[in-house]
Amino acid sequence: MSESPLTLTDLRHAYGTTPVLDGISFTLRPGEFVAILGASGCGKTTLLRAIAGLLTPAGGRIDIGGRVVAQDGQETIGVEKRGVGLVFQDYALFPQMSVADNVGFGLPRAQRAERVAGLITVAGLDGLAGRRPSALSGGQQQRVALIRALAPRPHLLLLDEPFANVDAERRATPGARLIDLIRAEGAAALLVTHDRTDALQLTDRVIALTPGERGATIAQDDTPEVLYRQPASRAVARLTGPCWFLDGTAEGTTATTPLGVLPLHEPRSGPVTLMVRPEQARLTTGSAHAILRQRFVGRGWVADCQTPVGVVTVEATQRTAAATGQVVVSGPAWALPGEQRPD
Amino acid sequence: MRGARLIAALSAVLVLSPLIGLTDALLHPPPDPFGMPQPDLATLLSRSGAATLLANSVALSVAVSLGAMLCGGWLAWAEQRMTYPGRRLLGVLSLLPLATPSYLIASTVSSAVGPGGLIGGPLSLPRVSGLGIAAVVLSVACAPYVQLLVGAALARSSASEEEAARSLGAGPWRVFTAVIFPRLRPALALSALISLLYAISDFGAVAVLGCPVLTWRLYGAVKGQQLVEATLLGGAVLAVTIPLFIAGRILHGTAQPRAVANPRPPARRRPGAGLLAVTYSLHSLIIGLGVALPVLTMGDWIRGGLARGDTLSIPWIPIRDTVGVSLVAALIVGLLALAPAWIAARDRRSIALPVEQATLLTSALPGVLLALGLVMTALLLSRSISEGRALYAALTGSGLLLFVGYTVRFLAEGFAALKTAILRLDPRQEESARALGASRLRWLTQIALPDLAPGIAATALLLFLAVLKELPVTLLLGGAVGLNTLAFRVWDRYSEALWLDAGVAGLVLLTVSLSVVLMTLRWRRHV
Repeated sequence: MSESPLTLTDLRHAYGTTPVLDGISFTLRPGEFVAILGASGCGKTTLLRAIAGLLTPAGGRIDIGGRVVAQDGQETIGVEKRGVGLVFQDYALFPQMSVADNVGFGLPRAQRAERVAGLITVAGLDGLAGRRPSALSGGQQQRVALIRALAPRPHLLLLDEPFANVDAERRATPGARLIDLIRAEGAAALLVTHDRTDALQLTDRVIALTPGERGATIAQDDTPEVLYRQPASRAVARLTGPCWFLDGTAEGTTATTPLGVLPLHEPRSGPVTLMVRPEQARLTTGSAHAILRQRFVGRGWVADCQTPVGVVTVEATQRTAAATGQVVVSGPAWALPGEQRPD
Repeated sequence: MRGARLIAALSAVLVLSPLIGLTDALLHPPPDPFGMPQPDLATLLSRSGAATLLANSVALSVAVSLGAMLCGGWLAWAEQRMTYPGRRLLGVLSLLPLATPSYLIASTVSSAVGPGGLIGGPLSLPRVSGLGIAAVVLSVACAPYVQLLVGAALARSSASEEEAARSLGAGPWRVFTAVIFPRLRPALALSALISLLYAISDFGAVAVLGCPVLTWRLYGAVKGQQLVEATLLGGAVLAVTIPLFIAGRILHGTAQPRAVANPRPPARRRPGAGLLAVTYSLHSLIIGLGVALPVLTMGDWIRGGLARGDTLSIPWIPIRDTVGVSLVAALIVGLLALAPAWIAARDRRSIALPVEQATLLTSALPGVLLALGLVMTALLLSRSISEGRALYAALTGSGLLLFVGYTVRFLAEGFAALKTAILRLDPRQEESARALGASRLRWLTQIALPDLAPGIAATALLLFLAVLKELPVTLLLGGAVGLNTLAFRVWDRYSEALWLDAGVAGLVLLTVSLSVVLMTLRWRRHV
């Protein structure tokens, strides 16, 4: 298992004259769990289908488990020989087969019984082996789809928005449970999603895809924490969570802005665009900024305030009856690297 | 809802009425018209040759079923899963034989490949007749139904199951047997059943081609007033079709349609030269025999007739009768089907299922048999009351029996189409309307009916087409009213070898039915 489960080199694709992917390159380490995060329609699914072997990319190269599977617009190894596990958004369980037959579908007959029984136990599906998929709950179907894909011990597991059909409140639990299963099997996994919570909470590394004129490109490839705190661009900042921006002039570890002098994440100088997350700013008493609305979010309150830099969202410890307040940026603000203004 | 249930129950009784007379006739055989003692059942059976006829009928229907499933099934696959020049156009053209009555295909094929025909003349072929050519003709007539059913099943299937199987290492054959075939099974079972029943019940093609099968002999017996023999043969037909029907219901019942959340069609493949040749040949066979050859041959009949100096006359009266009868019948049958369809789609009470079964059962029986059964029932009715003769004359002479015949024959067709349309009504729309304070009537008139309108229109067109193409009920029950439809005229003039008249009537009929089919194909997704 020393070779990489997946390496993409300058992958390109277009549908007719519409470019979709523009030079995508990255490598997965064995056992690594990576998310591809992008807005709907940005080409994530095309990327996943190209890796799976369900479409042949127009250019670039894909290596899976140390073998070239597609290169320069030619498929060298087809989907059935690639050794990738696929988990679909709609699970795509075979409706006429039992749970056990679904899980055993990709296994040689001789190993089937033992491996299937083991996986069914690990997935907490004991007693359901003989059921049809239609007799299972959504969460159970999801686990069947996952262990079916894991059963042949694939080099790589591909997950296409597998949590989209699970309702949001209960999502944290099945998500974490699936991750435990995948980690227990030691498979490298690539999760394609538009949901930042899934991407940031569940994975080791997040690759943010943003659309460009010649197709989607990788805007940033790093740990969830770095993507959240130090996004490479406005697009990545917005993809990874609520935030707002303001311009200022940096000098060392502070920057002068219309909202006062703010601490910086790292020293800079000259004109900068700063990103602030709601939790990096607070609402205190004052009359500088109008409070437009307040919302309860569990751990406290957030308020939308009218400021000279636009409407911004900040945290507040409690609901206030006042119509105005003062926005104070407390956390170290992040100066977007690509947004150094020329003046 | 109670009113709908009552109408549904009444229409079920109406639909089952031919079976009452038929059963009575089987239990109490009518006396010999010449007062001869009735021979025993075994003698009667062997004299009628029922066993041979039965064997022929079964062989014919099995052959037709296989032929139609191969042709229609392959064309559906090609249309949904392959890409080749002309795919869309050829796909639609291959459905057009839906418009051509089987007797038109049979008579034109027989004439064209026979001595002096368009094809048979230059090649000096002998006259064709018998089971082989009937199997080809009926396969062509059934293939479009298979193409529609299998095509719809293929279009509904999502790519992700197949992709999941492939990613688990399954090759094309295993993907087909493990994933695709189970999805197609209900459609294939239904296709097999429809073509088996079509072939067993068909009257027109086997009559034209002189096939020794049950329906053709049954017609002869009914025409010749040999009621004993007719009853026996009718019993034999029932003995084949009812078990088939039950088997079909069982197969259909176990098939559970599964909704796919986000169906994405599988990628189309470019076929190799061999498969492409097969596909184009099948398209040519179906379009050629089902539409092109009939049109050309009837044109040839007209040309030949004019060359002999016959005068061409437009059959205005048959056109008027045909359109009138088809319109009235489509209206009556559609209205009668509305209540059972509504009940079957929305009422989970116990009455829904028996009504549905009764409705579908008679659709599986040959028209000749249904007509015979209706006559038997009418006779039974007239025997049991004092003014019987007058009642019988009134029933047949007024055309009431004819329209009952059409209802019995086609109620199932209207029922199935309307039920599908009603099932598609979104229950949440009704709930929103009611929550907004709309009365049931307002919901029905402003939301449900506009929503159903395309389905109702398509159903009316389907029924119009069915009555237009119908032959045996029209022949047996329409004569008493002096009805002279296009179907009757084609049949009559063809048997008299009056080619010019047969050709003109046939072309007019085909033009009308083709335009109806083209209209319904636009509504395909609603039915």
